[in-house]
Amino acid sequence: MRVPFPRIAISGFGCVSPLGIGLPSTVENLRHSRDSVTPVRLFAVDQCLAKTAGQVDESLREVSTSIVARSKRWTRAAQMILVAMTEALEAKPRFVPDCIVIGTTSGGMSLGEQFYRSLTSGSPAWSATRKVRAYAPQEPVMQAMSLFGFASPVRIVSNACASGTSALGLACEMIRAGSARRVLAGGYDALSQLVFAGFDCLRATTAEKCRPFDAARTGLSLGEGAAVFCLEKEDSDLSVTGYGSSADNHHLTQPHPSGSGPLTAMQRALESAKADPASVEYINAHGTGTPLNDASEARAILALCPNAPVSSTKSMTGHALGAAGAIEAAFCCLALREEFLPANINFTQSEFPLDIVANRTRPRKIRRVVSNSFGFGGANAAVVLELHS
Amino acid sequence: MIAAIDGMGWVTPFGRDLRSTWSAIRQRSQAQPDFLTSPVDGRRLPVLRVPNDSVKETAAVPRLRRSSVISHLAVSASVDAVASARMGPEALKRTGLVFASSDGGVVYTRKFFAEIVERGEGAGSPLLFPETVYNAPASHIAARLGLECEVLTLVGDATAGLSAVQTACDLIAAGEAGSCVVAAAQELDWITCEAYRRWGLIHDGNNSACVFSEGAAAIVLTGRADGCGISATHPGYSFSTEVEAEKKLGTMLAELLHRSSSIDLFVSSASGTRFDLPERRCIAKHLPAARIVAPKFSLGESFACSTLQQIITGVLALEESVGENALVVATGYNRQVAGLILTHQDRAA
Repeated sequence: MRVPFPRIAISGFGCVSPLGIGLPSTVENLRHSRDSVTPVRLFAVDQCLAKTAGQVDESLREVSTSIVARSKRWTRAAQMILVAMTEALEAKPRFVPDCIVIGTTSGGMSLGEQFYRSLTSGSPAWSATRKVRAYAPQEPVMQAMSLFGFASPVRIVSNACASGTSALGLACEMIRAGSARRVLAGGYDALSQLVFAGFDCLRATTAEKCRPFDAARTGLSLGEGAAVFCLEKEDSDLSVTGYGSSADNHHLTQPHPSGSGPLTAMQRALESAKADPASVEYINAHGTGTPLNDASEARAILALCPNAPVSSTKSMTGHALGAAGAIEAAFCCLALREEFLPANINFTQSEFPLDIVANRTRPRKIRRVVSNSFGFGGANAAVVLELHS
Repeated sequence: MIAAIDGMGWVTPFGRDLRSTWSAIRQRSQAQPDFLTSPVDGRRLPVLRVPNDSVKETAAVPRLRRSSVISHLAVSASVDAVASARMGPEALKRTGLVFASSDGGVVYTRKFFAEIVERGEGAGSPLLFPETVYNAPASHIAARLGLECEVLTLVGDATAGLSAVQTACDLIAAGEAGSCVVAAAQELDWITCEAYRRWGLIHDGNNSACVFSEGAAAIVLTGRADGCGISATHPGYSFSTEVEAEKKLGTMLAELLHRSSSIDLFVSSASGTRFDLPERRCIAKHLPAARIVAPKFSLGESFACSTLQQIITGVLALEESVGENALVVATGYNRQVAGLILTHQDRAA
């Protein structure tokens, strides 16, 4: 017997992405459809096909150290999650989570890279040793939460590119099952050379502009960031009302062309929300911009919500992998509150009969949205977010 | 009871069947160590490997031929757990999966990055990269078993194994899955050995620490209340210092023990590191009369995988009439504690 999915309040949220550090700059740039994919400055990409990515602004360190000075020694990932967590908790003071559930794919990969280079280059032992403990993917979260004095257990969800949405879903399932009352949930991922080279060697990244759902799309741009949500069983204007997931066992890196995996995840999310698919007023698509992923997702959307306006905000931010689902859920919350549909930029010509929010935001008062995330390993997840009067 | 344990499987340095490993644990036998040599300084580190032929047929499955050892281990244990639960294809469609991992596919990750460092950032292998993601083993398990429900991968220290069990219990309680496979696996590589050695956790011949091991474990949980299963879980706490670890562990134990009339057996997470001390002190205080079994003495340390092996050890011990309730705890190196209680209903007075 399925336990009814309760309305789970979003009491506060915070976001760091290439579109902005914090919600005020994020909403401004989201509204103006800013392309934040720029040449990679963090590591060498000379031999890669793609040379651009969505990167969080260099002022991150300054913002992070204004919160706590010792964060200047932290990784960029830890600084991102610190800023997002601080913003979320400022919106809901005295929120003490029973558990913290965070999605990531890369974790401390940048430190792993440094550790390997230190070992193989004959650097002094201490320079490698200090990187070991901080490599663990929960470490950035532990560092950030230490500021707030939380002793809550930390769960790290790593469901590839669906991690952020899966983390929100797991947090909701914990509240639904009664094993937690308040959960801090979200995702983080910082760009790393290994992951950048990985997507490049798969020829998944593009040397051109990322154009999700466009007939001329050639691949994805990578991105980074973090978003954190205060979730609890309480009344709020914003809430998570549904979550669904599915396993697509077709291939480790490719979705089934029919779109059956994404379709099942969306169906399950809307069923748990007790929502008619026709009532969905906006879909923030996974929309990576790769030929196969977009085709699979487009089929799923057309089968379930053929009239819903759709955009992929990855066209502006790049694909933040394990953080993407959380960041895009934050964008959805902003769209609900600020009454506009975010744009799918770089769009030139349709391939699918979808209502793409092409190139410019659309002013619109909306109540119910779906945010999709799909990842390697056939991990598919979708959440339903709603605004209540 | 929250969930019954309907099936179990593990791959350990003693092999793949439940009984031979349990016999080794009971007799406090230690597996014969192998040695990994660090290319950095030629240092030889003792490790415990699973026997060569344990997962041979899993590695021959077409989808798994190019996958890393961690996936071979994880799939083997999961297939055995599902077989012992006698689950058919229809039941599997309603079955979720929660996979716990501490280091993921580290062999392929290290090889992939070595290619980039040595030959340039455009030289990575497209065959290696997909297997470096933490959820690759879970994906292979789901494909092999035909699972269609929620498939989650949790990453963390030893407590990730217990978080995975609690997550599975939540999915069953919410009605999202009829049953859940909970699995964990660990593979060996010189770079993780080097990392844990530098952290002072694994044995390098000069200090008292744990011996790093590879392996896997899996259990099948269902929402019934008979036989042997999980009667209480505690999500645990985070701690900031090793001194605080004892305090948090003590608080958690007091809260867990409040939910059980008696504990007959304590399944220890002790592996020879400095993290054993808080556990030893807390058990002496809270459960001075409980029998203690420490499977890592025989199986070595494989983090999240070890924790599931502790659970299987507890179940096998309860099935041998050791008592009604067993306590399993984990004190993780990344500053977390968690615990659960196993209960054998047939042993209830």
